[in-house]
Amino acid sequence: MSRAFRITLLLLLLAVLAGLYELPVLRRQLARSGQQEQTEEQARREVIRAGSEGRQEKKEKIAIFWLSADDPRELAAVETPLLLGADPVERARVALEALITSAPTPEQRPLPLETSLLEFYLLPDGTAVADFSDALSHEIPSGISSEQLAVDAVVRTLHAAVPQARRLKILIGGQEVETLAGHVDLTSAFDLSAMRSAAPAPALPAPAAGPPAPAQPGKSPAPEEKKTPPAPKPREGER
Amino acid sequence: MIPAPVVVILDPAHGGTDSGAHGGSEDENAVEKDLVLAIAQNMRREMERQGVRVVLTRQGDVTLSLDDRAALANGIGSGFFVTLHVASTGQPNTAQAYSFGTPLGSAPPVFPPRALGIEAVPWDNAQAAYLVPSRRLAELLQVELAQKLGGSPDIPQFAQVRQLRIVAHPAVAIELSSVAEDDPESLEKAAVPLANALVRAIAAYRQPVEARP
Repeated sequence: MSRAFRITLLLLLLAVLAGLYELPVLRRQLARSGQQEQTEEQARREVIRAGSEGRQEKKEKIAIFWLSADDPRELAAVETPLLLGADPVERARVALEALITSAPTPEQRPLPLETSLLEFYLLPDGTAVADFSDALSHEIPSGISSEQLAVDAVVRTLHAAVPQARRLKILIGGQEVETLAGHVDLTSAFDLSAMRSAAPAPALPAPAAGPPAPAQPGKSPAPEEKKTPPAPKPREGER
Repeated sequence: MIPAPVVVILDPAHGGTDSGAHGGSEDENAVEKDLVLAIAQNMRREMERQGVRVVLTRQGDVTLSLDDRAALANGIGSGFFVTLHVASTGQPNTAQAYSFGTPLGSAPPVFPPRALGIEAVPWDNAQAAYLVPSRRLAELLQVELAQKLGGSPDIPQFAQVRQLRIVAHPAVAIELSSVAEDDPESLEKAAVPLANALVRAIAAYRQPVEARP
């Protein structure tokens, strides 16, 4: 056996021994990376959280409106410490993400866990636009009560987190929709300034006179409809 | 003087491609659209027996938009509109009445002024003239529902139900619970108590003010 062959054999043996030594380390690293696999949505939420953590270190307590533990037909405010930051858009995002993902119990979620907030805008006139994923419409338990509670939870949580927002328009999958899931009206923006009133308020302007027939969309009014008095103007604060 | 006949426009919600709430996996056939249609048909029989004229917005399993239903209702001169739903959650065999409005502490929708150039109420504001009558009807109805379907709440709720918003009559929604219970078809038995509750509530509503308790 030549000297060169012996040296080559020794080097190969050393390489195999080094490989055997590294193998458990590689296995541990693979196991760790498997545990850290996240869905795209989870990763996105982490990025949002990390962003807000970078901007403000101190948590701020705000009211998040989940379903009441005592009565699931009502909402209950829970003072929740969150890293909100100063940017209104970021505050809205963090608060609404918490509303969706951080309910004390699964039964207290007013919005389906599958829901994600796709976009949020705050226009200079105080109009907020929250664009939720289709899951909000598809996964919510069907019914008037559940839809109304979901909308109220969003409206009230947003009002607590972003006082600058004066009204809220809810979109689903980037589109304006007639209803959330067949019941609650989403064609109009919700007036957040009305949140300050203590008593339930009518949602439509009160009539000045007797009830005329409504004009159907896309159709000309019938002759008798033209005789009806003019539509009452919305009261202040209802526009 | 003969009193004008009462007309009730009864709206079995959903229908056709819109099934509404579904029962659990053990009973996939239990869907809201079928339940509300069966209940509405039985209610009509009972109410007509008591002298009330009933118009159903749909007679079968057909797809109707909310506007279609409202157009039918708004074409009737005077009446009461009731949209009938079955929730997928809630305490079994109870009923909750709703009138259009905003729940406590919540926010009403914004109704932008519209320059229509015609003397007519915008479609989206059709319910505006009936908010107070609708609330009164809902209150009277809920009292009856609490008596006839034990466990039902004592007071009606406000909700921003699109179907109610575009109807030009005193209008309420009734939501039964629930399609998810073990035997959802048993909800059909609620038809007669519901019909009686509605007839009594409308009779109380139509009482002259001085005769009210």
